Amino acid sequence: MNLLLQVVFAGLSVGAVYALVAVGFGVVANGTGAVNFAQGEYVMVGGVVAGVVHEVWHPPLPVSVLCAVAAGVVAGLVTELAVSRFSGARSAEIITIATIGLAVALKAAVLLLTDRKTYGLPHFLGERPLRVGGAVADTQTLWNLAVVFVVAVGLSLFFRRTRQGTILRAAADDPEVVTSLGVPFHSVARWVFVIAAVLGALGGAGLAPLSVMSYESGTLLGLKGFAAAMLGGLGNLYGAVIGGLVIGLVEAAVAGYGSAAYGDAVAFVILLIILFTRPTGLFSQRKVVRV
Amino acid sequence: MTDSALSVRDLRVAHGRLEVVHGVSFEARGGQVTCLLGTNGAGKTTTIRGLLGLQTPRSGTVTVGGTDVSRHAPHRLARLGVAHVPEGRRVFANLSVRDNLRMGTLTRTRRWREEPGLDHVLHTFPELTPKLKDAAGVLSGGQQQMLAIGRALMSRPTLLILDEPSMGLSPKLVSRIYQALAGLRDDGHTILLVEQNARLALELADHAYVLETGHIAESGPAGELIASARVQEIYLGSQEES
Ligand SMILES: Nc1ncnc2c1ncn2[C@@H]1O[C@H](COP(=O)(O)OP(=O)(O)O)[C@@H](O)[C@H]1O
Ligand SMILES: [Mg+2]
Repeated sequence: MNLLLQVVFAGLSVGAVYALVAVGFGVVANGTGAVNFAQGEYVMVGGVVAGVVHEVWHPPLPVSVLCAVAAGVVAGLVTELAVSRFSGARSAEIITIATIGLAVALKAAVLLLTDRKTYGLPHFLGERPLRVGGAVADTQTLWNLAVVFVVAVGLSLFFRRTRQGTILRAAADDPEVVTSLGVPFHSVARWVFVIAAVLGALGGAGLAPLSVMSYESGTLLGLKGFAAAMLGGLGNLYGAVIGGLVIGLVEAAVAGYGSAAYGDAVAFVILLIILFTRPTGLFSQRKVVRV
Repeated sequence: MTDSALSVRDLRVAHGRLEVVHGVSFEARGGQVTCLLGTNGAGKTTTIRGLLGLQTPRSGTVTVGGTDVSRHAPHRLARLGVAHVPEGRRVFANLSVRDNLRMGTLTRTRRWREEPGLDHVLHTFPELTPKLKDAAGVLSGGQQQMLAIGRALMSRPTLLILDEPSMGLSPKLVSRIYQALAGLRDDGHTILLVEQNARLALELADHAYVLETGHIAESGPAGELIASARVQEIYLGSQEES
């Protein structure tokens, strides 16, 4: 069997999920300036909801995936309510801290409702793996990559071509002026959190056939997605996609050629390297020098 | 008598604990240009930000066209037809010039491609026409100022508030901007103009207030204030700076 190809397929499967999480981090950072610590929990919520729906009602798979997306919409709306309406938060720092609280709350809620159970899903495109060049490719790899591709192209069209997308780009430039033009801050916050949560939930549904999901799956995925977002430059759409795929690939390579035990450390090593070599990179995307 | 488009009573605004606007009162009348003059640091920008709700005032009453808007969030003032051209222009650097102008229509239409009023703005600032597709961040300072004013005009404001539109521009560009403002005045716009450049502003204005360390020190018809010693001082100060 071809180990290199095997590593590439494995890396792209999970890397695609990290990419979705990373894009979510970027969208929220652009719209509010905050780092959304609940981002990983959206993946968990999506995966667990799709898994529960599948296990309890056995509907056709697309229904389970749609339920995950719906759960993402709800999670995004809840985030906006929690961080911008109830706390009245305006500053990036306060929003960031509010999302930490929300992440803990989401995790606790799922723990109470599912009682530590784990959930999985069948492969979306059939269980039979594809054989490519002496390696076995999971059909889920194809699905996850396709989702990332559609999301990247779709979001980029949304941001460039539509009224709402342009408002969100303007808010990334100068949020205060956007409010002076008639758009309240909570409207921007609602859009970015719903987009971020739907991306996360889609990632969670796509990951459930590859690894089982439970209330505690979100934290690690969130941190890996954050490393991917930082690698690509926080707020950069295509950078986030590439960052996610790179972290997935490096992780799979370390697990495949070295030891699986070190796989999880990859994202953190990369994150530390970025933080040490580009310490100001954290929010540097947001400030634009004016002529 | 012309009615009051904006009325500010006893406005107090602080930065943190430090109050810098100490109970300022003034009004802007419909169809007129009202000017708020003051040297650098007098509290002009803080006054404007306070009345717009961009900064929460300590106290005071603000009414727009008879509606009490004290403590309203900024987006609600926008919906009442108040447009703000902020100090330092603050165009959306990463958006195209066209998208910057479209952002001015948010209170008027939910459709994005309609661009009502675009022709009118480009008629006022034809300099922007060849730049519509460029990112606003690459425009010159003068063009950015035109864009900031154009963005405000796209909302067809009932009250246009400009914070030092002459700041950082060459004398030639300053007169270009003021030529455009004179056109807006002649079209019947209600304007509140904040300036350090006292002479230019008073030529344009009907009525003026002089702000000194957070107090209104003097006010009167623009023609009369030109001779005031305080105004002469501001004028000299702004000359030294540029
Ligand atoms: N963000 C701020 N934080 C603290 N003090 C400020 C801030 N902005 C302005 N000030 C102070 O408030 C006073 C009034 O400033 P400002 O309203 O900008 O004056 P003007 O617009 O007339 O030049 C000045 O003393 C200035 O130093
Ligand atoms: Mg000022």
